[in-house]
Amino acid sequence: MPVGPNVRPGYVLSVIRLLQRVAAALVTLVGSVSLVFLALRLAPGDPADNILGDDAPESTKQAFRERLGLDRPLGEQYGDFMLALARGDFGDSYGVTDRPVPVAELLKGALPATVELAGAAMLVAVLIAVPFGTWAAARQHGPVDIATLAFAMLGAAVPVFWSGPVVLYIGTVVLGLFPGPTAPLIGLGPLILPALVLGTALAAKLLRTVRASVLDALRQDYVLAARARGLSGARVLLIHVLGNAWIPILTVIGLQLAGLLSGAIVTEKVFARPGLGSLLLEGIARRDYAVVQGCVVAVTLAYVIVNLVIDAAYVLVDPRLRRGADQGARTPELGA
Amino acid sequence: MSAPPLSRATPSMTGAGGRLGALIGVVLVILWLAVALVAPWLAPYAEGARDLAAPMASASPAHRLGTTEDGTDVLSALIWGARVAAIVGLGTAIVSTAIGSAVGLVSGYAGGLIDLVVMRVVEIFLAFPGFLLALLVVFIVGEGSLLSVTVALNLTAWAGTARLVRGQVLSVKRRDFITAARALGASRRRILFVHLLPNVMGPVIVQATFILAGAILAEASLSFLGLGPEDATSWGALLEEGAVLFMKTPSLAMWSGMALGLTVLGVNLLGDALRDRLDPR
Repeated sequence: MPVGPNVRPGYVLSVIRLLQRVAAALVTLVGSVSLVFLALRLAPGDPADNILGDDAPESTKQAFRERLGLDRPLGEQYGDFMLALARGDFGDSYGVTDRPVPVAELLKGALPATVELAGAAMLVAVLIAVPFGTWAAARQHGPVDIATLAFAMLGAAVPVFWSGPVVLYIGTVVLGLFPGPTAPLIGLGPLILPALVLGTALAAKLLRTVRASVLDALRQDYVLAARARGLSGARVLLIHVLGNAWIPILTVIGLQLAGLLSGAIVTEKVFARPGLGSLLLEGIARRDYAVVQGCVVAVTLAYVIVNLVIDAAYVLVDPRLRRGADQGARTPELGA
Repeated sequence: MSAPPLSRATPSMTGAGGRLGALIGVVLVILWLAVALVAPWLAPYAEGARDLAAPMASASPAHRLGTTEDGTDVLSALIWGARVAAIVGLGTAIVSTAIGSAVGLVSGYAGGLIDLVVMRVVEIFLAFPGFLLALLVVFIVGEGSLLSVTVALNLTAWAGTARLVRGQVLSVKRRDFITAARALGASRRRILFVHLLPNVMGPVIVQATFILAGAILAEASLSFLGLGPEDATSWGALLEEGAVLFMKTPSLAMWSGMALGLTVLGVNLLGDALRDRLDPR
């Protein structure tokens, strides 16, 4: 049988939809990077005054403006900024010495530690949230369900900069299981406590989504049909329910990435870990414009791109989404 | 179009557990706001006062919960911190809800090109890691103050509400009572504020409580990172000092963490209870 566009319209549709998503993500990408640029340039007052302090000599301020190109027209600055970014050039840092250090290099040095922490925390969160959220939904109003909801409620109220020191104290002083915060940060050991703290905080947010999506899937007709066919409860739950509940779960995981990365910044400070967070905070403390801008742009890029990949994955995997209905309500992520 | 029955509340908080949660939430929120309101009369020491003779003091009649490294009375700092959380939290929740509602209302009602452009901008703000935007704004302004932190958090919070209100308006604006109002010659402003707005307020109020909880946590996080209001005593700043001193004296971190955690817990519980009441989804 010949294969033509009329035979497999679903495939063509999914490519079109994928291209639409990529285009929308590109607009978002350019828009959010422009937002960083605008926030930096249009803030009230002269950045040279704000960052160097009012008392800095005028010659220093003028050199600062020239170095960052702040004395040039806004449109020209914007064009240069975007072009440089497209080449992977994040500007130069003049932090410690007068010798410029490319911010891209600093980011490259800092990113692995943060990606490691974020990845480990995400693993912890999924390992807690998926089994317990499913269990809670399968036994709605039971003791596990109530405990899960209470944990989610408490977890959402406890910031990592409170749970962090507590866990660190228990792990190092009370139990003596881990080296103290001054010990060298090599190997898996130093990753465990920060990943647990950040992952548990994330799990609290994920639990409610997992539970709600599983509850929703449990009410569908195909679950009833599967049960009527005499399939075991575990098989129905694992294959029929979770097989359909994972889409909203994955969406929320993608959206939690912003919270995860800002949480990583705070967690790195709590555990004195190197990474993007410490680079950012160092940049802030040294009033290093280019480093702060670079860190924020890097996190924004990571966030938008990961969400695009998740979006694209759905279109390729789930035939229902080719017809277009937008799924999932996006809510802003404020807290860390 | 018929609305779903109001009795079908979200499954999470029904029954006795939900009512208990709502009660705890209301009590915690009232307690927090009362302390914030009467802080000048309740706090043993003025805001920013330091007992230089007694740094790092343990609990005593003069300092019930001890002092910090710079001699600040911990109990007073906790009480003043409630006020900072209230100013920044309510300032963010109220202003961003007003801005977001106005934008969503106009965008949803106007439709067409206006809607397209406005929603694209909203999407960009939603796609941006909000906490980082707030951090960036405070950094640029140069020094954290109650005003700059509140403005920064508003900048990140309005977009979610705008999107929510726009969606609500789209579903309500084709209902018969709006058509009837228009047929009766009601002005556009009257339709927007008298007919549309009250009908979309339920979910918006629920959203505002979650913005409130998020803003309290975000302010504390900024303060923890040293970017909070420098003109006020924040729980986040106390927690920062407490985290550093945790191995020696865990009490500072415990007290300030408890104040922050219980307040956020109360607001979230209140938000859940309100959702069951106001948001039919």
